[in-house]
Amino acid sequence: MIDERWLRVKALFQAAVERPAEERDAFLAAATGDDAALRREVESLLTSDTSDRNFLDRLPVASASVLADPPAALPTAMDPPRSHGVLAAGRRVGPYEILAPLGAGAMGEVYRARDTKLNRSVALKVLPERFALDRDRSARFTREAQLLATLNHPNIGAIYGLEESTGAQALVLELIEGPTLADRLVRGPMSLNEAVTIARQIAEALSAAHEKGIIHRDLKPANIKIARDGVVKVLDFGLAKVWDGGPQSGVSASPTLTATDLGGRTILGTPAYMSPEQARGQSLDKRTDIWSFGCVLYEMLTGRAPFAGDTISDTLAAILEREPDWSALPATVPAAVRTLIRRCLEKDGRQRIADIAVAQFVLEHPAEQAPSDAAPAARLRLWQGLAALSTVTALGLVGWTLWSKPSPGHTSRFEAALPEGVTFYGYVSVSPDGRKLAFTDVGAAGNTIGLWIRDFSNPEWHPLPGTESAGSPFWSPDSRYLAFATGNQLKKIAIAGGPPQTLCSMPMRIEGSGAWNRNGVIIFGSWGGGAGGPLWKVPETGGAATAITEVDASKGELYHTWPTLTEDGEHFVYFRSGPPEVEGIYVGSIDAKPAEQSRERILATEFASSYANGYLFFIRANTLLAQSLDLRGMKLTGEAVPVTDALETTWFRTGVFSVSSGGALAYRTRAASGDRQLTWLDRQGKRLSTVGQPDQNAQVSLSPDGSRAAVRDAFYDQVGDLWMVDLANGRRTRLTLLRSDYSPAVWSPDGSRIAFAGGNLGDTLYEKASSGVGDEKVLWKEPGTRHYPTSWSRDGRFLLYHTENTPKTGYDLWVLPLQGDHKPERLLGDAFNEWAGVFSPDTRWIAYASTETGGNVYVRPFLAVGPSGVPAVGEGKWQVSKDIGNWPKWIGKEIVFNDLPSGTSEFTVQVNTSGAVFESGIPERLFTAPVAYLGDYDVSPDAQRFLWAMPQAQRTAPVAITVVLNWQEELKQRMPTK
Amino acid sequence: MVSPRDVTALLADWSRGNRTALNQLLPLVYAELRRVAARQLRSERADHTLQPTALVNEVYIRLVDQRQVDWQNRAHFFGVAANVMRRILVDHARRHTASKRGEGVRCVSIDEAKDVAASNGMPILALDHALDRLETMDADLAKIVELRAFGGLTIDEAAHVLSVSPSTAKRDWRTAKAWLTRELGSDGRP
Repeated sequence: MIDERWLRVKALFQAAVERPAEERDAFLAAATGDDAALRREVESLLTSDTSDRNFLDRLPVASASVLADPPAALPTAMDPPRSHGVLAAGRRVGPYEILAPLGAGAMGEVYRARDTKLNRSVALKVLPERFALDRDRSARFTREAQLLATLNHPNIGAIYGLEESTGAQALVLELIEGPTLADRLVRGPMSLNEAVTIARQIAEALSAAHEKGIIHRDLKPANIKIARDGVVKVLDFGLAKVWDGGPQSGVSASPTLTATDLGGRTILGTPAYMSPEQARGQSLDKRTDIWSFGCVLYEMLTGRAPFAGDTISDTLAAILEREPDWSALPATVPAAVRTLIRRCLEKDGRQRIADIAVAQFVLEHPAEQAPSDAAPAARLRLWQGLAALSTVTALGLVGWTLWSKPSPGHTSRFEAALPEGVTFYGYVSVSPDGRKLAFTDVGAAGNTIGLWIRDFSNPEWHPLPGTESAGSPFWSPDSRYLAFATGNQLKKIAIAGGPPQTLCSMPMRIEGSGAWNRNGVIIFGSWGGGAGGPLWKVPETGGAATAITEVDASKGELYHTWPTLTEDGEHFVYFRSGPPEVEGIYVGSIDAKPAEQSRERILATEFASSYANGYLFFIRANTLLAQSLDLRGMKLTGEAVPVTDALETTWFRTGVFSVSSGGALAYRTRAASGDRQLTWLDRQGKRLSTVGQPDQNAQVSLSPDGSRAAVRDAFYDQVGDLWMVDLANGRRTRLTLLRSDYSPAVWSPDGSRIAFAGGNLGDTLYEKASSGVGDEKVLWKEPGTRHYPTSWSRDGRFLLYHTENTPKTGYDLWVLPLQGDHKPERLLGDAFNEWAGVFSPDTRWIAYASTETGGNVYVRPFLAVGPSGVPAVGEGKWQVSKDIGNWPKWIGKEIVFNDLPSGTSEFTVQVNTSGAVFESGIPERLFTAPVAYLGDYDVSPDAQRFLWAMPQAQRTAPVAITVVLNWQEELKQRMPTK
Repeated sequence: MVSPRDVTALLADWSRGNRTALNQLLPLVYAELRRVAARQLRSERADHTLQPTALVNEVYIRLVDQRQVDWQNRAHFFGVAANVMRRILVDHARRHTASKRGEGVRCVSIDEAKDVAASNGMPILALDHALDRLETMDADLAKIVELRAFGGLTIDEAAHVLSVSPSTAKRDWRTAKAWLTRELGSDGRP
């Protein structure tokens, strides 16, 4: 949304200040014509233009307290709401004249106003300023408001429209005179008749909205008006979602918990009508309204809300765990209505009535002899009655038929949604008592970092002050402390509060979690950045750490990490990282000498594992598996049982999971690269067609004939594998099963083979048949160096790649001859970074990106045999991008490139290589893509189309952490050999 | 935060188009800013003041391997740090205006950095609020103010971060200053 007027003001101002003062008047007069307001605006800026130093030239100087403040007060992603002015009577918003304030709600202040055009009274809900300032949210709001405005029902408060005028956004609503149901309920419970009459109308309203796919999300007595003629009007339909703005997750999906902004004060409303799934921050469907409907009906009949508590956490606990006081329902309430309320208030959404039509039916015939909880004959009658209702959906019937609760399951699962505005990063850890969970986050804007904890009995997360930059969290055996690492220091903190205490400082980074036994010994891993890091132990009271393992450099070992204790607390299971022949899971003893630890590998794996209660939890191809571990025989027995697939893995050779002997298991599945739809775009960026289903698609690479695409199922910096997509039918088949870093595929000119980087942090270049048949063949390996192949020459003789982070030279360009001695040669390796090299179709040139002038694309001659007899670049260097250029692709007579990271635009430039000298034209912008990430797309062989891995949603929803309680029960059942 | 790749590598990754590198970079910068500041305040400055730009500089020297980073990456780093600095100052000002007005954040001119006695109250909150408004109209203008005022970037460096020419950056800076001066007055008081 570009403010056209501002652009004019800005252009005129900038033109005017360049002119001598005496000419400005004439210039402005001519430029603004009869637009006097425009002229005044520019003039006011000119008056304020000053070459004198003003406050902006002074640098802010912070006093001591600024940075010494406790981190609990770190700014959060959602800045605290700003206060907004109260509109005075007589003020106008568009055609609406403010008459008087009506009240304040979660979404801003409400005024009685007069529509001066239609000459009617309306309610005007003026949205807070910060709301209007958020362009995305504002646009989304407009769209949603339009949808909500289509709701036209006598029991729904109408939305007339949306008024946007200078700086303010306001919803224009039907003005309904009369008390709310909440006002009425202050006087106590209602008669059955009165309650049923009102409930029926609420059900009508819900039914009409649900039919349109609109969920209320915040149904409560305060949102229900009883108009003077007795007609019930449900207000604020769907606004909860609009207000929350994001996907339907997070506790704030309930506006009742949304901070209300009144002169800077923050007020939290009651969550008493929130459904359990809302309280847990799970995704919502219409059943959330059915729960709230049940709450309202209960309250009308008893005079009190079924789950009211003194505090928010009390209330939430009641919603999640406690049954309402059924005895509070008056004896006069017929069994059918009682059953209806019970079935509305099923905590498990699947057990709940699934369609409001069921409620409508029951309320039509409240006195009918309905089933008691165990009266099959009566139930059958209701069944028949319901079946006769044509509007009742199958879903509704299913909901109604689930009369009896299942016996309480031993193993249960739930999704622990992350706090709003928090980006998960790296670690989860469940406490030994199986009741608490910790995770580490990195704020999207970098402003919230550290550890968060929550108790499973409470949906709220709490940040732990004093844990900035924390990683590798693990718990004390009594679950009262968390140990964590910040860089080189190991610390502990009481979860009840208090500052963290440093236990020890190490010469290298502490990484990969640790373990804490009942004798007060803590063991933890380290990471020497290639120099190696053993496991260490330190007393829980702090002190000097001593090594308990020894990194065997002679075998190529890199580091030891991720210890988990066995039952005796003296032995531990841990991961040794290194080449495939040694990498895997080992068992150690806390008291053994480092050199004497067992070298018997119990599992070869590229990822750390965890031990708990006789099981080893390990990762294979992104699947978390559990298998019995016989510690005496030091071997895995029985069968491996999958726990979850699509487990998120991290760069540090770990999966995001944690398991405790106390019966809790937490893990997080991947979403980052998931749900991306391969989409063809034309040269204008217009969507042409899609390929296959949304899937974990990233790092796209088109075959030379354009019929297939190799994609990776993870982004550049994530562990993943390659897949082949047949573009004719969208079929997707697996190409590799390496679970390794990290490059996209590079195709051989005939399309029969692909090359890619993998191995340990990209230290190996592989090739493989593009059919997927046969093993990977190692082309080149250099431990400690990350490789990134980018182009295979058309003559088949050379593979171009870059390496990363070579000391002094940074990113360098290399070529690997695919014939002869296979000895790579460095083509470019100066103090600038060079990367993303591609061959010209005739293999006489290379194009690449370099930081030589910021970030631009260059072309140089490629000599298959240079002056010293090996491949080299020739004399001459041409810059082909103008101000910025990155990731070139050379197709025929043009080079296509982008402007990452500052933009997401595609550019093209024509090139001429027919002469001895390279020539190129002026770069042209093709289009700006909605998203771009390293390797998100490729260009078709004819350069007419782009194949793009397009995210389905603009903003990916924060993915919850899955928690499994009593996991042993389920594993026992699934593991018959145990 | 967890990162085997140091800030240098993250900066390089980011400038190559790896956008998640920024997410990993920010917390490192943030943590280091606070740490260095706390140390400086304890030991070095009796007057309990800091210059954020000097602070950012020190953090840069500590976090980034000078041999591997060119000046463009330096500009990007300062761009990131400017935003972090703004958040720290604004957050602080918010909390402190509630109790004691204006305490905690003072400003001095570049030339008078040592003469704190001559300082005026820095209208951090007013500036932040105005910048937010400016951003809805013209994000580039708001960003250049952030880079200059909170990150201490030169016009050329700011131009690089914003991917505009230095002359555009200069014009935009002048425009932004005029707009903010009109909104806030020449001493920054609305």
